[in-house]
Amino acid sequence: MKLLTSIIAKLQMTIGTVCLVVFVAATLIQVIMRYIGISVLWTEEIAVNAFIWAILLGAAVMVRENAHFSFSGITHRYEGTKRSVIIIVQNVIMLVFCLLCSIYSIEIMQTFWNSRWITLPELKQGYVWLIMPVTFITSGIYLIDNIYKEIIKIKGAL
Amino acid sequence: MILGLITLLFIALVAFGIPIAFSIGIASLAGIATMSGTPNTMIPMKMFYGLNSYVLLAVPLFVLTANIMNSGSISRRLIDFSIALAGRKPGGLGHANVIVSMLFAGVSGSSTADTAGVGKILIPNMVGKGYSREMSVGVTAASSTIGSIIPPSITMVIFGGLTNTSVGALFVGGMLPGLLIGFGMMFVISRIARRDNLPVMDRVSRAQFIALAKDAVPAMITPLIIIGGIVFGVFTPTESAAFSALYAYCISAYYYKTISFKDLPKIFIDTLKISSLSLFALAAASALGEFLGYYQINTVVAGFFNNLGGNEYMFLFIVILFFLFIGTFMDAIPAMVLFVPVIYPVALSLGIEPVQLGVLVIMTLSVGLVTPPYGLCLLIASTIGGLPMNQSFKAVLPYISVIAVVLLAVIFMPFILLS
Repeated sequence: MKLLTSIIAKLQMTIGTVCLVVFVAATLIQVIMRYIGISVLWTEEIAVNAFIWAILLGAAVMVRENAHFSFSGITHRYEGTKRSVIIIVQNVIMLVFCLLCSIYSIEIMQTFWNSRWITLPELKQGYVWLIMPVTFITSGIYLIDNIYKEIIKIKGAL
Repeated sequence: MILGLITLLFIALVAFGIPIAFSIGIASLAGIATMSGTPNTMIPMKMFYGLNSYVLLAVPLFVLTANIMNSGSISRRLIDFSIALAGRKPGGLGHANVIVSMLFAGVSGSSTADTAGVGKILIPNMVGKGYSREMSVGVTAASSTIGSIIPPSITMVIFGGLTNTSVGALFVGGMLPGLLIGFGMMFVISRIARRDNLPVMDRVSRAQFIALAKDAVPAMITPLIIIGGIVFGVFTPTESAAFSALYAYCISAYYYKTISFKDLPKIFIDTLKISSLSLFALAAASALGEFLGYYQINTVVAGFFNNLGGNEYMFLFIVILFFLFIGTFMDAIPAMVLFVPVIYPVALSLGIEPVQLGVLVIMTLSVGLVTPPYGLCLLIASTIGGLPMNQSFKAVLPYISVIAVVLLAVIFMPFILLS
């Protein structure tokens, strides 16, 4: 499980970083082209879509690293098994949300699959919307891994 | 009734330790499920559209600029220059601390990066030169708050993204209040210096000063690129952020020679991680906005203020008190993501300018950085200075009063926003 999640996280961070580079480059190209008098319409759409992919991939990996903004007071108030149980319940609540959103994301992706980009009509919108199920499904995998780790901790303590 | 239940659900989730972005998402899902004729697919759809905004690209780009600058030894160079500039005044290291925060604000836009970068060098230096720990920690933490007020400011980009307010106008609007806070803090330091007979630093020769200035000036040009580019219509805020990142890389790699191409993957990964936290919360809040819009929360809030007399000043004071309270236990970005969409339409209906509201909210939330229990800048400075939180908080109070005075100035003299 650990190997699987670390491979997925590494892949996500690599793709996310590439997307970050793409949108930085697209933004710079946009300005340069404007000042040399060449009109390029696709840079903004590419930049925004790469940005959405980068941010959502990063957000999923942050689930694995337990780094999203939260109040940790209740978690840190307890030690040992009690803390593990609280973390498991937290992760289960988030997992249910991710599972539901995975289903809704697949539906919405299918709805938009054959729509076309405005400036690059040869590309399907579905490729951009694919990030929604990817985010929620991988977040779900990370949450299951987090739950599994806590169960192992509880078993070790017993 | 439904609105109350969803609010309770949200509070319960946050209190139970569910991340704020997920708490918003779950509350939105529960809320949207109660809306007749609205499919649950609205959640991922709204989250997607929440990020589908060109101006928000500026957030990771400014984080990237700050990360590139911080990977070099930019803090050290700005500190040395600031000490050379103000060190000869009584309490010179305190003045230098504020000056470096103002310079750092123009470079990075991150208050916590300022506290960590500057604090690690200046707090031990100040203590070693005979300043009290309270003074050293207090001025370091308090002056860091300027980071989110003087442009470029990540919180301003988020506010602009949430309200469709011009980020350029917000940047210009934050300039003078940020400088006023800086100079006000220096005034407080000079009073303390006179009272406590604080030391002055050794004289720096003209040649040394020129060498230090030469070292610091390339970094100090960054805000000129950003603000100048936006004000003179050369760039949009997003484009200026991309160019500032490119500029930061060029000076760090070729002028300071502190980073190389192989450092970039780590810098990009750190940027992605930091940016995704706040922007994912913003995406989730877009889904919540759909629910709040359906139940016309804006009308409810507007009705509350109309019952209080519909006075714009009263509204602004309540907003400030509310965000002061929220800022004590919540980070600025999630606080804005949650509450700005609620108060913004009410502010517009009362005739309050978006830039005035934005600068006020951002200044107020910056106070949260130095108030317990969630004041990150206070925590960082206390840890570096080895001072308990309660003593550190007492030490920042004189400087918070400066921010309070500037807040009043922004309310009653909005012309200082230059917009």
